[in-house]
Amino acid sequence: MKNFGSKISKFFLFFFPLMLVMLFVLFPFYWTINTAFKRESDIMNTHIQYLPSPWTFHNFFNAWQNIGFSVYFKNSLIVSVLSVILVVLFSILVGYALGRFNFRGKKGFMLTLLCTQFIPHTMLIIPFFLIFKSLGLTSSLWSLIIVYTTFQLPFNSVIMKGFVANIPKELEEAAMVDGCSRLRAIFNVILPILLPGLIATGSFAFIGCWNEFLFALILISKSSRYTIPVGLNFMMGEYDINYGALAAGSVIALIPSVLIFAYVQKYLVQGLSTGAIKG
Amino acid sequence: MVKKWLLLLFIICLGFSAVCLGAPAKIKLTFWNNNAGPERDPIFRELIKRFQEQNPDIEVEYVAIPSSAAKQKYDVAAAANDLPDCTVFPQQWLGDYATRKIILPLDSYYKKWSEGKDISATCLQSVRDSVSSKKLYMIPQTGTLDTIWYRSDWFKKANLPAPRTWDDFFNAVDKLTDKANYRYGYSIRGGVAGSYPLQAVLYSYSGITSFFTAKGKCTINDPKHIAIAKRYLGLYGKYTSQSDITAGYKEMAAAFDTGSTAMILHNLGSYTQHLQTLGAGKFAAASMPLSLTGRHVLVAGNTFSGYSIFSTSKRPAAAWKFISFLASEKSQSYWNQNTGQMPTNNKVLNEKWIQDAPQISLLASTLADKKTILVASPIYLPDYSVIMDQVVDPGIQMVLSGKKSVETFLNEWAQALEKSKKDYDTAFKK
Amino acid sequence: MQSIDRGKRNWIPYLFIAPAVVLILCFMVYPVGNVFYYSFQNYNLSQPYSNGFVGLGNFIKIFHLDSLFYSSLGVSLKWVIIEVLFQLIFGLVIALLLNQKFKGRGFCRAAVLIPWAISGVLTSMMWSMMFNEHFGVFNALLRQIGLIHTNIAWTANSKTVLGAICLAELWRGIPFFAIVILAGLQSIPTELYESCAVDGGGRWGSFCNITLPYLKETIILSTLLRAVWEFNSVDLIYTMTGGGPANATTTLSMYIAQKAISASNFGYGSALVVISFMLLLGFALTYLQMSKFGQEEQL
Repeated sequence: MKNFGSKISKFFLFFFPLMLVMLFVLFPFYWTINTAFKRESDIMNTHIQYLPSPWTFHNFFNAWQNIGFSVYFKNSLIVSVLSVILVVLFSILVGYALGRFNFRGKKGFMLTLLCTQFIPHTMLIIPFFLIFKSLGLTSSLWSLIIVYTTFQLPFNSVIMKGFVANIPKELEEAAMVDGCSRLRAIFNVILPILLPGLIATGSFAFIGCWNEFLFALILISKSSRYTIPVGLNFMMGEYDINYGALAAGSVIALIPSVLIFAYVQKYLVQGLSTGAIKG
Repeated sequence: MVKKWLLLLFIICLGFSAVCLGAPAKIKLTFWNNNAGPERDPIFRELIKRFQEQNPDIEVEYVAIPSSAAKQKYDVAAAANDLPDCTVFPQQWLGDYATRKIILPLDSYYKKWSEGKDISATCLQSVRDSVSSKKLYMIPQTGTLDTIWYRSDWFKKANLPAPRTWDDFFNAVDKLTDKANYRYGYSIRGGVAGSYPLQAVLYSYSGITSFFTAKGKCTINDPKHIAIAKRYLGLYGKYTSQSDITAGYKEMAAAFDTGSTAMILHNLGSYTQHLQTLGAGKFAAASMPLSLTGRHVLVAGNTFSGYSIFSTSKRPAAAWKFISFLASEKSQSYWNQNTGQMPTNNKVLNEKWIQDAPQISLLASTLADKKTILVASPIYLPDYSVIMDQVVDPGIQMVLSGKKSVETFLNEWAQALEKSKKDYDTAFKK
Repeated sequence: MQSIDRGKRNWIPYLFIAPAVVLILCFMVYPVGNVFYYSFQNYNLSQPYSNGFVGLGNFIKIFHLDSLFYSSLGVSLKWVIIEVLFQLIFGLVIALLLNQKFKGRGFCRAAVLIPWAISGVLTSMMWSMMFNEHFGVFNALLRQIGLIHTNIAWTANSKTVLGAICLAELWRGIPFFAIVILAGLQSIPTELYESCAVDGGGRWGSFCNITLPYLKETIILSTLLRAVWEFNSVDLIYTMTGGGPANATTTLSMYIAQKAISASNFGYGSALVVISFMLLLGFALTYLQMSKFGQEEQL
């Protein structure tokens, strides 16, 4: 009897809410994938199809070949990967400096990091464009890499600071006593411990870069250097909105993110919990 | 640490080299398309290919820009003096850009152009009217007149005539509304850019032929306009679906293409979209209904789109060669046939495919009709589109949601235009 | 946190933060300085003839004449409170669920995370497709269950519109809290729970006495960041409703975007940004002060 009761309570306290959550989370994906395989005339229909009939791969073909997603995909990958590398590199340095030292201006620097989050990005477009023009970097993927690195750096640095602070400093002191320099100590001792945290911040930064639209459009004026979010916007033209290709493009855009999360989810939790987001 | 700086240096160098390398032996032109997408891109690419075959010394780079943020991209590039050589864009940007001297007047080029006389005089006049100096800043290549799209199959079944007069129109809206089955007689564009169709409705009903009287008073809040606006916007909720209040183009098109509404007011540009989703034979186009004066009165201003040259271009002659090629008979024919829009070249208007596209020939004949009047909307006012976006669009939603009366709304609209005109006149006539 | 060797090599931390400082100076501080400069200017691309210095003119106009400013501030407040509160509650619940051991946990964790990876444009397209009055799946489903009898215009009815866009933003925002809180939960030593169970504290007791206090820091920082991000978030509202109907969803950031993008009125837009910047700064400092955040650490 007791066993039965606990099963019931486990059902209502655990499985039922979990099911609801999963439904809420997964339904939009199901619907997007469903849409991606439908014909345009079946999408725009008051008669709702819960499974495509007939199935069509035309939308994927259209997005990949005609709209040029193969090129956009490559550009997005280059920009995101390079930005992530820079973000991780710089944020380790900042995180280490903030987590291990007290120095003059530390408070001000931390406050500045916080303040960078207050600015709506739309207002930065014109100054950015002028800066990159004077650097001769308009239409270069490097302009995006620099922008994304700057945008992602503050938040990641703060997280990284939490990670570093949680690592007992005795570990690297011991290494330094052994005759290592500080840099060697960081590389040999701190970095391996930080690895899950690095994966966590890295994937966070990757997603931010992968999805950015506005700067990718404004700073780049060459079709061959567009990224995926710009490509997705082509399917929302004033006269030809194409839901099928849009959904198919979305599915393509999702693939790297899904793969990354499927792979890193255990590091992500583990990594963040070593830092447990402390200021 | 040194490594990091080297890396940064390396990054900057790479960026520079990417820009500096590859000095061009050919003349290089850059061409922007403000409304790019999977349907129009291949058309332009094909035309560019043809042009380069004819002109091996010129190389054209095509830059596709999604319409959702196109104006912003042009504005930022203009603020930074980094615009391309030439572009295709809509007529309603002309006034703003001409005032800011971003684009070049094309009159001298046009005079020497052998095919210039083939471009319809009405179209050219409309384009000139959008700029206060009346100079020619754009070669129009296609027209997208306001069009009522209607479900011809439903009309036939209900034994209704195609909407020729406003009474036909309102009658059909009433007869075809069947709320129990989620069918509505009409769909009002209450969301983004709903101001333009409303403006078209006002003037095509009243038959008033100018936005301002000689004394500078705006005609928007004329009693006839108040009457039609009440009747037209009053359709909301009763004969239209509730979501119309935020409907932009995509929602409106979706309502029509899913078979939820019998009529929408848009333009020729959406033809292919309807064809793809509804299929041929189920829908047809009608021009704006006849006005109280018995004529077709059409508001012009966002009617045409065409080609312009930016004043920062270092190769305007080559740019002219390119855009005159695009506006030529053969290119126009190819472009308009593939998009289902109305060409501006008289020779193309007489081609056979036009006869097979009833919606185009209908509008072309309306436009060619001597009794038809084109009302020039004041797009030469630099903040005209701002007023449409910021005063009129929210105003429509206020009226639809019952928070504002039609009178107050039209008065505010008229006042905004009057003030803008006064500011403009004082700034320029001194 | 104390430095290992105070005083000796004090240049090290500066060297380490140097790249970040350079980037932030060039690409944050300088452009923001620009924005502050423009806030004192009449800088309107579409009215070049009236541009010039206006002093506090923009600010006076905003505070005295602009009723939309106040109403947008109200919408912003509603938006931020709803979003942060619900994201926090749902994030906490999901984190507690996913902290249990069960089959398929890895899959569930990964799945819950993925909405985070989706851009605003995509989220809004997905949801506006599902919300659509005519071909949207929500109306079809709800009609089948029998909850509604007529189709509802979710994103057009002034009663449902805020709820509709909040739901979409919630979907995208929950994963952040879920993951951060889940990580926080994992850093709680299990011995604490055991000793609490010995003391006779129930589930609720252990939640209040151990879990919440342990999560305090995490929750404070994540809610603060989230509040700021939600305050500034425009993409979803921009594509789903454009601020309508009748400005019912025009938040302050949305209003800024309208002024700067559609109206190309950068002077006025900049002044609005300066005000919103000050508001956020004030909010953040008060929030940190009140929550006594980081006190033990001497920031």
